[in-house]
Amino acid sequence: MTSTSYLDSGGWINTSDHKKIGLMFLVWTLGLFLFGALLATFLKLKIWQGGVDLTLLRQMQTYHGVAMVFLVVIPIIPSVLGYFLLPLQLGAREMALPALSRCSLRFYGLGTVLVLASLFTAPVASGWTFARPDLLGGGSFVVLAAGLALMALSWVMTGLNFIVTVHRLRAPGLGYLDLPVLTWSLYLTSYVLVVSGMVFGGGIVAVALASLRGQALLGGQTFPLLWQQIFWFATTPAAFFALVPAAGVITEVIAGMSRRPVIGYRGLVGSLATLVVASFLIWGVRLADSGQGAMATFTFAVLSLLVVIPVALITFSWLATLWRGAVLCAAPTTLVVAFLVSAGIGTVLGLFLSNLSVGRFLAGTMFATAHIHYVMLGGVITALLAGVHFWWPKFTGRTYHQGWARGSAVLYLVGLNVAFFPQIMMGTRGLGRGLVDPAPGLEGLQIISTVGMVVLLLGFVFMAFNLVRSLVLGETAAANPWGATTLEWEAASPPVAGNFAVLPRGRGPYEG
Amino acid sequence: MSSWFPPEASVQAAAMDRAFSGIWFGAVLALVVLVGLAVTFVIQFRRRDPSARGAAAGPVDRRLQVIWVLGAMILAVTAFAADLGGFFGQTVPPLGATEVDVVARQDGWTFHHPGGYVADTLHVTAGENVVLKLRSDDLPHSFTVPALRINQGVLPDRTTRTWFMADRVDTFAVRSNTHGTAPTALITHTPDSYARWQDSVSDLFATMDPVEVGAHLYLKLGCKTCHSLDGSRLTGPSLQDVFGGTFESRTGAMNLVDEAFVRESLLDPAASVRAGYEPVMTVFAGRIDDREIDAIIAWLKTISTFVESAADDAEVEG
Repeated sequence: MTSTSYLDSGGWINTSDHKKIGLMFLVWTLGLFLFGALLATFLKLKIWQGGVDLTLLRQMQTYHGVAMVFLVVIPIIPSVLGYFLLPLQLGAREMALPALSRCSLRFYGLGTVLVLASLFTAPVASGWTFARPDLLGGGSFVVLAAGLALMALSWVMTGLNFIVTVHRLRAPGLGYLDLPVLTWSLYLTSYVLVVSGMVFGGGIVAVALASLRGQALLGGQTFPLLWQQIFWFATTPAAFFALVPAAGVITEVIAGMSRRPVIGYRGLVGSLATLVVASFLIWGVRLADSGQGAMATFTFAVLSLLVVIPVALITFSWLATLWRGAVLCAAPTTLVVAFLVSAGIGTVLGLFLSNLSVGRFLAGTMFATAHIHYVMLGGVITALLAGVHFWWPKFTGRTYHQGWARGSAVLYLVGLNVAFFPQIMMGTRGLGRGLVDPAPGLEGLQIISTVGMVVLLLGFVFMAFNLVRSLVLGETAAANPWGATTLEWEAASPPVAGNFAVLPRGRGPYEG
Repeated sequence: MSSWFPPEASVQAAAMDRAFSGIWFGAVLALVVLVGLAVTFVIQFRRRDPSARGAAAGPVDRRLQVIWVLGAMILAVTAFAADLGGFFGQTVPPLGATEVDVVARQDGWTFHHPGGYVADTLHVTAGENVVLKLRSDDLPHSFTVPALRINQGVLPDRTTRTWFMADRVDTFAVRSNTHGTAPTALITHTPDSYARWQDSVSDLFATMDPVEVGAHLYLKLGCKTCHSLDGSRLTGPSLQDVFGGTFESRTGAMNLVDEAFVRESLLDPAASVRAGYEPVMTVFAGRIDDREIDAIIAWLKTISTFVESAADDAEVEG
């Protein structure tokens, strides 16, 4: 087995090395995240300057939503951390289906190119849920839909690859209940990626075909909510419950930074599985203000209560693991706290929306927009950033500047709350979701939110700059700088091309 | 919770605000406990010695775990159940409530009030139960009145319902959460001012000439919902160039659109329906009087080139 680092071994274009694929996904998805964030910031600044053309506004909102949800939030943790870490955590040399890893990356790449190409023809303005068939934009929507269908296929490939890898490539002696929580969360999310990918991919193709035939609504006037049902059935588990792999990341970071086994391991894994099952039962919660029947709304709301017990068990495990740990106060820990604050706010905002009376009023307002941002950005992206800072020495063999990293994490957290907390207040005042004509008295909140967006973006840019800087100026990292106990830390930093000089044997979870 | 919401204007709004306040209290408490404990543990158990390890895995403290989970469940179930009666109450309109048919389109709203009064704003009496029967003529919209805490989806070809009782005389903004839908207003009246509004709507001739009244009635009666003025096809034929023209009916007969035909079409639309269209037009018998029909005819003449060319021909012959 070669002792050369994977970074110095072989090329990148045709590689099927899971680590390189993970890194390429990291660069690509974070680039798209920056694109989506710049769109939103530009939009906010235009509004601040005194309004923006309605068509341009709709187009920018559409592409912001599409980029952030489908190109970033749904795939980012499985594609970046999953591809890089899954074989390492299993004690394996590669993914079970390396060619499929490469194919998934290429479909993702081609998908994003098509999505962005539609932006340069006649941008779609129907919103990221495509609920406005009159604004699909004809031919350019077909290009966009083709891009999203390829994207969905990429999710399916990733999911299948992960499932087979976990089934077939566990190190000798590594049982299912010995798997790290991140591996469990990725394994469970794989089923979501496969099901949601197929449903969403099929659905978006059907909408494109319907629009080509000149049909105003998928399902026609007989089933006006058909597309919205398909859409939310697929995206509720994939986008909102992207918090499942996020919880896997946060668990690893907490266990690694506190050098303590995860307390309540089995309950935590069972909770993640329960969340995945529940995520497929509650899509109608998103349709509370759509004209859906009252009994349907009531039933979905009752089912949504299923998530409470698992969420409580997961947070209990995190607190119990921190308790009596040896917690290293470094950037990943700061980002864990940032996650608890922002994903915590996202979760409690969900309490308001789960109330049938309050939720029905707030569902169509900026309150729901704030909820989505706290969950997806505050939850999923913050967890990804915590994970990237935690495993960066493993990715690159370099350490980054802790002061810069912690400072930019604080800036990011402050910016996130200054940007999105005002949206909660705009929502209770009845300002519609994504509307830009604040009622008198709300202009101040709009300005505060814009300033927050700029601060958030600065925090993110500083963070990225610090990591890139470490590639040149960072000190060489030890194989296990945090003293963590899962198998990936037995590999060198960065790992060799085949991951391990000698394949490790399985052991109980978090037994160092 | 006045700092969060616009001032309440209905009993339902007050109940919803109380539920919001309760959830707000529980949510802040839960967040403070979760983040507070995490930050406390990070500080209290921070790694002072680089080689230090956390305590070995031990059994989960079941008692604490049960208390934690029960606390979360109590919070979530209480948040869910607060004002549940208000939700179901909203789904069952009270008997004897005033019914208003509402039609949404991107370019505006049409409210069909009792007694045939049609307007592009909603007029009701304060203290009266009002049921709205909403449908869209193009795309999904929403009917949102923040002061009443109403947010009801409006769908094409499906009637959705909501109801309210405004508790004061005022003008309230009505929005849609959909981009581009024209905003409108809910105007609540005293019984006297409502009657005056009805008079002002019905006595259009006091302030307008017949052609203006005809154009106004086109909007007020909701004709624009089905009949365009630019030649485009909607549910019904366009009114552009209709007066003075001829068309084939579903029975194959050729009809001239003259004054008698317009009168018959308004009062008994099924009598003669243009080929290619369904007999779905609203019957206006009992809802408009002769003077209003004459006004509509006068206005139709102004938007028809057949009338202009007939006049030109007459001039040439003269």
